[in-house]
Amino acid sequence: MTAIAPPALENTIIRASAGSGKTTELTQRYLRLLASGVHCQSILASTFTRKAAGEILDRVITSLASVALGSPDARQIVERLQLDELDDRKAQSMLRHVLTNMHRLQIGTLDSFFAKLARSFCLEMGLPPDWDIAESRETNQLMQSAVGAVLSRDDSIQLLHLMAKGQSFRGANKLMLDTVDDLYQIFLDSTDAAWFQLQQQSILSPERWLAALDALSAVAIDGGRMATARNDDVRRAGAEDWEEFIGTGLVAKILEGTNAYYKVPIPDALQAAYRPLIEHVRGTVINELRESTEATHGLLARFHEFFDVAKAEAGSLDFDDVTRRLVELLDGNGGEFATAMTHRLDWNLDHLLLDEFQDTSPAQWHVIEPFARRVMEPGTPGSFFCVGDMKQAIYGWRGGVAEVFDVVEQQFPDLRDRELTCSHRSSQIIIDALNRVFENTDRYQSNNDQTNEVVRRWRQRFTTHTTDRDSLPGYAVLEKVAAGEETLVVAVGRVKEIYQNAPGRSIAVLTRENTEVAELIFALQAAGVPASEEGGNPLTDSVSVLLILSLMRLSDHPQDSLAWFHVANSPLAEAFGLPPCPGKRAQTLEAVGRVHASAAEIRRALSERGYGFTIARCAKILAPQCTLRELRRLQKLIELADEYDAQATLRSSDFVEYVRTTKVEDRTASPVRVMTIHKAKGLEFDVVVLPCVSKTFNARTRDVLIYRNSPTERISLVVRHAGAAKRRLLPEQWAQAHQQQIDRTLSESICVLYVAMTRAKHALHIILDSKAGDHHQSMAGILLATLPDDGQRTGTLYERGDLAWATRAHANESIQPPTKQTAQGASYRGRNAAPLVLAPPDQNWTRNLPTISPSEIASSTESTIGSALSQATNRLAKERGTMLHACLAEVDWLDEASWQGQLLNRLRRQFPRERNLEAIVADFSKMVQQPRLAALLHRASYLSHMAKKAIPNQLVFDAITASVERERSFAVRIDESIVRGSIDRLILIHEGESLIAAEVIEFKTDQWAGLNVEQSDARIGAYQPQIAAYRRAVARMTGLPPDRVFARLVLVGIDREFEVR
Amino acid sequence: MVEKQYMKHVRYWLDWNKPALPGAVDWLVERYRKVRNWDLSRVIIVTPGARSRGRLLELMVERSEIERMNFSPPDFTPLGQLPERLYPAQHEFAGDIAQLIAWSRALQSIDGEQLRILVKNVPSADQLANWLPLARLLKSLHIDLSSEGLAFGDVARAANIMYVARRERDRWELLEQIQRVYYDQLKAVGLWDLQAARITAVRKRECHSAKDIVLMGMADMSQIFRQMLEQIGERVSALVFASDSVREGFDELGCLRSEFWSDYPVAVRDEHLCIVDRPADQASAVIDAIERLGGQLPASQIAIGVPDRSVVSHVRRTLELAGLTSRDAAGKLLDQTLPIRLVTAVADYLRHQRFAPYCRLIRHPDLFDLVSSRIGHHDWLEDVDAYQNEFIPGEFLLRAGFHLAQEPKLTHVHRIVQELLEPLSGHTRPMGEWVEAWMGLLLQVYGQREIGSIEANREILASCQALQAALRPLVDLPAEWSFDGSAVEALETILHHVGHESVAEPPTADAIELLGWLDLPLDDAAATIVTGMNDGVVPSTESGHLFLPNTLREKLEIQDNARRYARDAYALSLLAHSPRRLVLISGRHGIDGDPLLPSRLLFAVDDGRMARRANDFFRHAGDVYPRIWLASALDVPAAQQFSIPEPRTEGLKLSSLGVTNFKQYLQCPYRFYLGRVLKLEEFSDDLAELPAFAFGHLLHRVVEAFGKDPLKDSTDAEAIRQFFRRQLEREMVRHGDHPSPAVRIQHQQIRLRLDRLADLQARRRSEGWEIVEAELEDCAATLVVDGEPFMIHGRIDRVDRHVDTGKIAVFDYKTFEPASSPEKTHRVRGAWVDLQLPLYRHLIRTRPYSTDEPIELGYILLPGDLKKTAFVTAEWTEEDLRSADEAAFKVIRAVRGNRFWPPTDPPPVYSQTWSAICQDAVFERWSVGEAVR
Ligand code: SF4
Repeated sequence: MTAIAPPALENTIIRASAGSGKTTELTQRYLRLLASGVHCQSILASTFTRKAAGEILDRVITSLASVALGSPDARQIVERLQLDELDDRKAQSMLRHVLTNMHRLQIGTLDSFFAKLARSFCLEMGLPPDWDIAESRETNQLMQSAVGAVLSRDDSIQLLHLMAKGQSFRGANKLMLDTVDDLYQIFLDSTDAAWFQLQQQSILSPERWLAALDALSAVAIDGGRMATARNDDVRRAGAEDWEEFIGTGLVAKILEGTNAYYKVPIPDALQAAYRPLIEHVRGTVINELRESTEATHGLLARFHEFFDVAKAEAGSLDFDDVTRRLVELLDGNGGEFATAMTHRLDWNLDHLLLDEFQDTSPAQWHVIEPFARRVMEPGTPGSFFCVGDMKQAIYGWRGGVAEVFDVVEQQFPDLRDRELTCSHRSSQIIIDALNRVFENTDRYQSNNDQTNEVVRRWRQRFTTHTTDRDSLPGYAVLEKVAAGEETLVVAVGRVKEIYQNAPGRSIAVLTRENTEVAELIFALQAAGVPASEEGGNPLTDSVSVLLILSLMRLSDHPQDSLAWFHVANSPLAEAFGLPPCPGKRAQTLEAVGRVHASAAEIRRALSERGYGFTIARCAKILAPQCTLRELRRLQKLIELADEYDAQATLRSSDFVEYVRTTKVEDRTASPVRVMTIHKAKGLEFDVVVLPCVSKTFNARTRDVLIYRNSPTERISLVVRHAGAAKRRLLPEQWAQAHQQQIDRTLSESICVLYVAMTRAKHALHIILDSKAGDHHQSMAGILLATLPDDGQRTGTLYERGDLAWATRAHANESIQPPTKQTAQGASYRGRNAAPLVLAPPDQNWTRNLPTISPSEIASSTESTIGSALSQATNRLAKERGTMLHACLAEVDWLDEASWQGQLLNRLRRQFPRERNLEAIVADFSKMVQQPRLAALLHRASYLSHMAKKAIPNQLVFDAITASVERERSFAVRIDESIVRGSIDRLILIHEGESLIAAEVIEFKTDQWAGLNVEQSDARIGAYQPQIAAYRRAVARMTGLPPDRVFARLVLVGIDREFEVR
Repeated sequence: MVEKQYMKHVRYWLDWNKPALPGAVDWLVERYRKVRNWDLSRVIIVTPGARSRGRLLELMVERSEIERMNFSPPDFTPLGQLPERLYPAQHEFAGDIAQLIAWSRALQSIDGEQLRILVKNVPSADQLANWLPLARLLKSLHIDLSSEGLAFGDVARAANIMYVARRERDRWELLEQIQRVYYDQLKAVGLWDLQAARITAVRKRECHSAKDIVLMGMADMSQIFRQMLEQIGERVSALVFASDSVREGFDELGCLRSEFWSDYPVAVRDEHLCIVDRPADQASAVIDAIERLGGQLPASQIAIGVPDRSVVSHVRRTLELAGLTSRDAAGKLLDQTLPIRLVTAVADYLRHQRFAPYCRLIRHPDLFDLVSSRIGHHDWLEDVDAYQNEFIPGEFLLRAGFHLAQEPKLTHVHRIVQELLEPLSGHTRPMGEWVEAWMGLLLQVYGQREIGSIEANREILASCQALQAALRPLVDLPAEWSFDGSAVEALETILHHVGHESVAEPPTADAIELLGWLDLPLDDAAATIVTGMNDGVVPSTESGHLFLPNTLREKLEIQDNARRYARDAYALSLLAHSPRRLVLISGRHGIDGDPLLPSRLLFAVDDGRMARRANDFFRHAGDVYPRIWLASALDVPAAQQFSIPEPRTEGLKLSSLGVTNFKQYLQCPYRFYLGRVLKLEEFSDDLAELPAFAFGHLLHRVVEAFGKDPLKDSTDAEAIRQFFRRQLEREMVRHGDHPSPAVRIQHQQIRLRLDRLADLQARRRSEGWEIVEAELEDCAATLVVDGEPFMIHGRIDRVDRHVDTGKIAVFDYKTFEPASSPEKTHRVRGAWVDLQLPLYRHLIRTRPYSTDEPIELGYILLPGDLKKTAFVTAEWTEEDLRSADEAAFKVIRAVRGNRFWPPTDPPPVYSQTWSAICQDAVFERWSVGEAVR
């Protein structure tokens, strides 16, 4: 490939606003690199989701394909790329380059790159070679057993108790799990020292405490109000009700520094009497928090010890573990490992392209950094490019830290900085509303200075947006519901209107909390608006699925009468032999027994035939009563079950859990989708409806306060959370940590608002609670402060554009053709629509016949698994048998060749590692002297014997010859099988040239001594079918009529023979 | 047709425009037939897989019978076993296990510090079992390399020449050293490494064959095989399926030259291709393709290729739902068979002897049946569940079993399990000694089954035999190498080798076969439908490797991505050229919705077509097949048909009610019916600690004892506290010697609450309140409603009387959070939602100490926040209480009238318990309204 165009390799950092084409920028960069002759293997492009990664590749390839094919949009693509030299030929060769190197492409998520690294470095990272990303069930199990391990340590109770600040909790297990849930991430992200930042405080001894209380009571006060207040305080202090003691009354005033109570100054003497008490309380509270914090750390450290080792041993990690272990590995010798990594991964990493950079966590950056450093090193051919939007940094809770942007700029000052603010998505109306909100945030005045400050700071980050889709019709409205009205109900009504008035348009209802999603979906459903959740719901939204799950539960717990009742009232009951469920009082032993029997049967079916099979069976029973949607859900359940089979356990309740927790999309999903704002990131919709934005910003308080010295550093201070009142007693650090925490949640919340508003293409409906006020510390507060036109307080507060925009949309802007994926209009075809018919099996020669050996025919009737297994154990006998057979195979006729001389050598060649061959040969020599065997193996005696039974009288004896084939292999078709085997000794009898008879001789070397008559008869009987098969085979091979093929079974050990007819 | 190359062996070109195997049969007939005899007994035939061997034999038999030949079949030898037919083996070969141990011992002998270049966590030197995972890794690396004739040292030298990181080179030097020790280890016990033996045989030029060797379509063989075959010379014939134009693409043994194929245009036509979305759509596309065959072919003439195993279950299920039979040629993995699941479940339990794996184990169908048949009934599982719920055992020792089991049934159950498992428990022993114990278990469970009658038993036998064969080598280990371990470790050592083997499904003529990718090219089905034509699958690629990344492989000239590509490009060409109907299905997304890439091979066409295909694939989401297989789409009901079962009230006449049940009725009459009338109960056995109600019960039992003890009149807080503690200890005994830690801690939490209660109780007594009754079971009273009596009943936690005033106070202990006052829990916005305390009044009236004075009603709150521990009484007026009675009467009337319908909607409090029956969270909910009408 020849390079064209000067490479656009400037190291660049792009701050791109929503809809301004981040992905396009990245794709174009990618294409320019390719055009300049860079090998695709040396470009790493990463983004946040696998879906997005797929889209980048789709765009790279379809762009090239368009140009290569000279499609109508080719010109435009080339222009956007500013690569005039890119013609169809060049595009073809670039395309071929990408396609033939598809396996070398490095376009994916950071997580997947890290996983690849970790796969190639598992040994160095202390992971087993077959480690994998864990299923959540596995993680939960490991977590539970680590919690169990923590609890079983004797001193853990002490720590738990301290952590609970002296309260009695109900469940230790639950407490520990909750703690892990809430704080384990913080534990991992903090230094150990961070948890030990509080000093032990001295407090009053009990006696002195009482003395101090007495002293306070004794202070003489005039003025009833203050005296009452003092007396209250004394009572509260006595009850050790600290929160009340410090939060109210005189103490609050003293702590605030007001030193006046209802405008009356608090006398110095009184203040002085309070001081020791306040100090005591301060000490007590701090000590309590300190102990609780340290105990929390202790428990988490223990948990970590067990959990981390268990995960590594089981080889099941999550992506965060992978990142953390990579950071550990790279720590200190990043450069060296980066080189080794490129070797083991066959990377020739020269160019980094990072999307959604604001969501990168500090840990992730630590892993990328050595690579970034390499590609930016002067004199190397590499380049660095990252793009993101700090305004959309809403993944802080997942570790994403938008400030990584700033850090990168500091670390690499030569980066070129660019900003994109022109939307390619939203109509002018939407952009106007957006600008109006974020340009006017200084109008917002909450009663909290800190909040105001953060909001104002956010303003500085905001550059006025523009759009190039100004021809799009649009509509934006802010309304506040009237008092007494439910926001949710109003929102549902709005969605219904939009759904009816703008048919076919994509409508998203965005919420802040996950819990609201389900609520809204059900409300919409009830209102007749088919709504679905982005990413799908668990299948438990289907009645028939629930029935099957009840059956599964019943099979695991046959006494679960609830499940019994549920299933018994369904068509499944009959199929699985379940009696009606009369309730506990009326149930009979017999009925219960039947339930148990059915349950056992189902368990067996599940482990023998699998979940897929069993669930499909249930589904078929339920299907006739199912609606179309139910059928789709059932079909999905079968799919899920089939996938589950590979990981199936012996417990059907595990499957129930799996179904409950797996979200499954219904791909005929309606145009109305409900999701959290977080999930909406990266998506766009014709209409966005945004209800319930009045939740206060800092509604989510954590159990601990944390502090970082800088956003990308590890947490340097952790303390258990204290109520507002107590916080006043605490050292300065607390205030800072608290401040920082509020800052972060606050600015993230504003990001959330920004993301929500920018999802809309045409229309945006924001619906506020009746209680929302413009000073509220909430999204609603900001919106109320910035959007409304005048002083109106309820109803429509802001409205722009045309409510009937949908009818005005140009043809080319209108509804996208339903993509194949949504399959909206696609009709579901039923099985019976076109019955599947195949031709009947070919009568003569069909393919895929089973191949069996004659001995398989023999053993198939009689023996048990036990006898088959113990036969194998008897290896000595078996080996001896093999060798005796080998000896027999060396004998043509005893009276002819000098076989004896050769035998030992031949055996040696066959069994080079066998030591006892001489003994075997000696045994064999003795064996063939037994009269019957000898007669059989001498030509003369054999022929005379055969003459009697096989040769018609009229023949001349002298014309008869016999030839021997030893270990003659054969393969013939018998009925519906190919029978393949080998015959110990096949004797063909000719008269002159023509074959007139044949005999099969089968030697048995197994032990017969000690068997009684019946037993040996039985055994001989068992061999019959085998010999019969031989005879048929010989008849087929030789063309002899069946009655001319004879057969004999020879028991060499006891020198007996049996004619088999 | 014959072309003699410069080497001694001969290539024969067979036209790839004809079916491959039938062509090969022609060749064999022509070459080996003598009049009526077609004797191939002195011919070794090597084909790429078992599948083509089977099919070839089938074709041969067919041919011999049609032409009435006396046919002796050839010696089919898998490539992997061919070498040992070609040179004399002097010593015994080390089996899998022996090799593993030799590697482990080699690793053990290396200095730990040195090993740290290789692994972060160096296992402790003494336990051999700890080294096995690493040994396994080196073993496979060793096989990889030495099958190409390379030693670790060769790689070390290559790495040295290449510019690679220092640490990579160090690693290889260390590996070289380990490999040397490995060989020494084997030598010391007189064993041979198979790979080394082959290399030696080649080096000593010892290879020869008395039989002809026919290589059939063996396009990809590693070095060592090639070198051996080269020594054999002209007895080797290579049958190559190709056309004249691609002869350049093969070397003298008929193997592919990667360079030739890297840009060879693969003759796949556009109409062969089918792009769909998800695995389920691939399955539907298969059916579609079969449909398009128009019923002209029988099942046996249709082959479905499944290079990507993740679509197999979908394809098979869809075929089944469409009424077609299928057979997976790969068979069923042994680790899915019951015997292996049994031994794994046993090992899981024995590893830590905890209750959860025990519960899994006893649900193994075969073990369950065994136990049931020995104890004579099969409804014992519920006792096990009940045991779990009551005692929440964590640890569960085989020796100890169920403690305090009131049910002799359980003791009986466990004795049987114990007898089965006893031989496998206990401490470490030489590994070989466990073999018999494991086989003993299998014999006990499966020994009596007859092989012949049932298909399933054949599978079980195969599985048992595989286990037996895998365990065997542990017995045969050289004495010097014997090492100790537990039964579980013994099993773990071998399970790796067994689980991934498979047992074949029996072929049937009416089944459509599912074949692996490698089986496809030589197969002669009339229609071939290949799924999973995605990159990474076809061709497979190695991206990133612990030891041998692709660049290093290239350098060493061993199996690399280019060779994999060549192999698959050739395979696909073969498929496309031979006469057949061909469909290639490529998915856009995988099971979890991850994007998939199309196979690179599909773009090995001219520029124009390449661009068009790329456009097609990457622009479209892939076809979705919205097909329903479960029912005919024509008569699907429009509305939901599964009803919420209506109450059956015939013959039902409730004449009494517990005082706590009024609350349930008020919440929802229907759920009340399910829970209180039918007494339906949910069950699980996954409690990790005492649930709320059990926590409460436990506490109740302690205070109950107190209320009945003379000490109840004490005002000595300390004495009371001691009493509580003793009593609690006594309760704890029920949980046995090894209570779960969580439960132990819960007990301590209860103690904290009781400690606090002791203070309050002492104070209350000193205030004059004495306990007159405690834990009054089944206290009943009759209310006359509408002239008819109705009984209410309940259990009263505690009744106090004031010694001076004679005032009566009734209390209920509450451990639930939040600790709310009775007023709050009983009434919401003025309406009664609970009637428990007001109804207590009526119960008390029946007691001898009852007076006409108003009764105090209240809670003794024992919440987590110990400061909130308190006696609280409700301040209801007489009028309030009368209205409560009214509310109760209403309930009584309704209950008498059997009014349990319809369910309250929306549900009062969302409860998972009833949601399935009541369809709370169902999309297309059954409309109760209609039913009521
Ligand atoms: S803000 Fe709401 S939606 Fe976002 S993560 Fe938190 S709970 Fe979920």
